[in-house]
Amino acid sequence: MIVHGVQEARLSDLGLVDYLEALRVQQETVAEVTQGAPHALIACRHPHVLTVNRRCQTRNILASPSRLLELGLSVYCAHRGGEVTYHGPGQIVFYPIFDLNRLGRDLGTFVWKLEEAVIRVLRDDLGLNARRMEGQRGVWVGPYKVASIGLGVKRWVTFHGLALNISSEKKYFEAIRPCGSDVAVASINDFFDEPLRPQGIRDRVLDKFEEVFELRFTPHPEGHARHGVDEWPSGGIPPHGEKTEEKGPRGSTRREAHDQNLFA
Amino acid sequence: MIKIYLPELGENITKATISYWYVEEGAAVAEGDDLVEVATDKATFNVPAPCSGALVEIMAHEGDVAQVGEVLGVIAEDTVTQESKEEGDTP
Repeated sequence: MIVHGVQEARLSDLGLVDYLEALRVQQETVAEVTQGAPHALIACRHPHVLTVNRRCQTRNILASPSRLLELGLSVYCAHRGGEVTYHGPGQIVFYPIFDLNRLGRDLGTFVWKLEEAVIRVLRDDLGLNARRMEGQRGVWVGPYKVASIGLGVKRWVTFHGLALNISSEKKYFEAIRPCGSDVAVASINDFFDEPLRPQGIRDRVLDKFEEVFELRFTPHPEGHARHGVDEWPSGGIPPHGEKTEEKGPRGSTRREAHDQNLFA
Repeated sequence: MIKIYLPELGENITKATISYWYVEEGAAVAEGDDLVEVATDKATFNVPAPCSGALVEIMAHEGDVAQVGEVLGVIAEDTVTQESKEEGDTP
């Protein structure tokens, strides 16, 4: 189906919310959108959690049970395929519940647009060398993966989504083999001396979602923001277009950062 | 008998891996129910049951790679429902 023009999408901000509660809201929203409600986007952060597939396979959890306890990592079996995934409060998670019957039935284009929204924020607003990696989903800055994508589609309505690392600590990723592969993970704040405010990054990603998908966000009428948007951590953020001080991941020098081609 | 096909999933997607059958062979299914989940390198996709009836044969098993348009399984249509429908349609 070819649809022209800007479409409405309802925005819910759940703030810091338990993974299972967000999953419940997602499932409700998928049912609404399947029945013809406008597209929806849920933005949130999760307490530290690992999710594994429906068969509860833990082969890619590297940490011992006692280490998981020490890190405060809960483990959930999610009704999905794939491998282990980490979520934590240092990430922003976006769950797009979009009806592809109205936006074009093409999984490849949909994933490309998700990646594009994040790439435009990182590259155009923050000056990072953000890119795709051939044959893989997600967004990289130089050799480091900063955004992961895991999607399900049911009756052409999308669910699950995209997790962008803003200030995730490395020790949590060391507890797992993310998505079953040895991938170097980093957070946006690893590249700057002054930490960026997650809410500011979230707003920019939402702007780019509107631009790339040709959507206009309106607040969800049921106010899924009940968990409190004020729970987003505060901190400095550069104005649009102003680049902050550059550095390499985990304290490497600027020279090393440029050698790794991290900045655009 | 109604065949279940791997649908078109996008311009450059030619195949998918069967990741999960929601029902076993012989089980009853209702039209629109999730029947089988397939995984591409972009996303997982739930193929719904095209009609109500019984899943009589699974032709593409979990772990198999299927091409777009390939038959994944077969449903024996619910004849009772079908007959009732036809009777209902008679003026």
